[in-house]
Formats: sequence, C-alpha cells, structure tokens
Amino acid sequence: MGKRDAQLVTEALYTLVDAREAIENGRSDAAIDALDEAQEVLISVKHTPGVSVAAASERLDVSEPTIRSWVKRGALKTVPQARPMQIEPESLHRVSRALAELRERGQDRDWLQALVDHLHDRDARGSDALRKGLTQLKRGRLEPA
Amino acid sequence: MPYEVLRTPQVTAALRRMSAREKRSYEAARDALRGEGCGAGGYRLAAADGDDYPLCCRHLAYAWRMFTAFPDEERIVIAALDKHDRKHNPAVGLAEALPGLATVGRRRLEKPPCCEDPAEPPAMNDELGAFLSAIA
Repeated sequence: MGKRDAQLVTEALYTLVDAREAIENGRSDAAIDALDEAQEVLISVKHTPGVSVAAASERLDVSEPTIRSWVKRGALKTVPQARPMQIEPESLHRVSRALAELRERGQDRDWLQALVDHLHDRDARGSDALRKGLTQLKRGRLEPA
Repeated sequence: MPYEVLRTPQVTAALRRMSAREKRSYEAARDALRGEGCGAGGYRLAAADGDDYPLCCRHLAYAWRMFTAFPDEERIVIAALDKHDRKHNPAVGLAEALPGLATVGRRRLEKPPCCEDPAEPPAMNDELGAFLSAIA
C-alpha cells in the first residue's frame, strides 16, 4: 500500500471513531454522515471488487465448501474474471441478512413450514408437467374434463 | 350453476399413468370443481416474490397434485397433474432461495385458499401472463 492510501485509511479510521461516538451520543444523523464519509474515503483506496471465499466463509459463519456450493447454486455471485474466486459484496450482504433471519427464526416452526411450503411451490411452478399444461392452455388445446 | 371444467392433454396423459384409486381422487376433485368452482381448487400457489400466484394446487391421492387455472368466471382449466417427488428435500433448494428468504416467511405463514369467493377466481397476474405470452 502506498503512502497516500495509508493516509486515507487512517483518515477513514478516525471518521469511524467519530461515527461510534455519534451513535453513543444518540446522534444517528451525524453517525450516518460519518459512515458515508468513511465509505467514500475507503472506496478511493485501491481495493479488490469482491471478498475472498475465506472472508465470506467467516462473515457468514459457514465453511468454505458451503460458500463454493452456494456459488454453484446461484445464491452467491462472484466477481467476473477474478482469480482466485471473489464473492460479489452485494450478494454476500443479501445472503448474510437472509441467514441472520433464518438463524433468528430457526426455532419458529410455523415460519420454517412456510419456508418449506414456499420451496415446494417454487418447484411446482417450475415443474415440466405444469409448463407443458400451461403451454397447451395457451394454445387452446382443451378438452372436457 | 355448474362450472365448465376443461383439461389439457397433459392431464389426459397423466390420467393414463394413474391407478384406479388415484383416478377416483381426480374424479372427485373434478366433480367438486364443477359444483364449487375455485372453492374446490385447494390452495393458492405462492409467487416468486412470496405473493399469491394465480394458479391453485389441490392434493390428490398419494403424491399427485392437480393445478388449476381460471381463464374467466365460468370456466376452470385443469392445467396439469404432477406427481410430487417424495425424495425431494426442500432444504436442497434453500441455497437458491436464500437471497429472497427474508420476505418469504413473514408474508405467507399459511397456505391461502384458492379463492375466498367462487365468483371471483384468481385472475391471471403479470408473471403468469408474461409466461403465457412468451409461448408461441
């Protein structure tokens, strides 16, 4: 890291301290301003577009093979052409929020049942049989039941 | 007034694979649709965003499911019969669903009925309309 970037990181760190103090004093607007400023400064520092699989694994508290599996299944997106693989921050954030919700409500049987129902319905909507039937419906190929 | 109940060739083909008991459950559901309209449609499927999808699903004997659509107030179309794969583990789909997970449980804690009023069957929505429009 160059001297200029190092100075920018220091500046961002002090701005984060300002943000923490503002939160402790109940000044949320000032805290948000300070966080925005710190983010702006850090964006200007040379950085990778995504996060490593190891960092994503730590952030989500799941194993690295699980991260790779979720990438394969499309739940997490990767930064194109990045080698080694980098996870796109926005998708990491979305999954992080969803996982937090799932863990928080993991003991709620009604909610879990609703989730299972949702997944069943999603499979049903995408089933070959239903697609075929709807195609025939669209073409008017109907007969008395 | 009885409703006109139609079916697609997919349904006719699926009926040939059904056992006698399974066929009887289909016939009972079909007769109920004739008499009760969408009130006998089972429950509304959930859309991708967790909202209601304009198709209904009724469970038949064993693992069979019947999907119905409602082109207008007088006609009911049994669009498809499908066998639910009992080996399917919904948890396998969890990863794909994770990004939208936070909205799912809150919005749909119970399966809603196919319709509240037989005179007002589920209307086609944009998602289904777009699918049907995309078919040549």
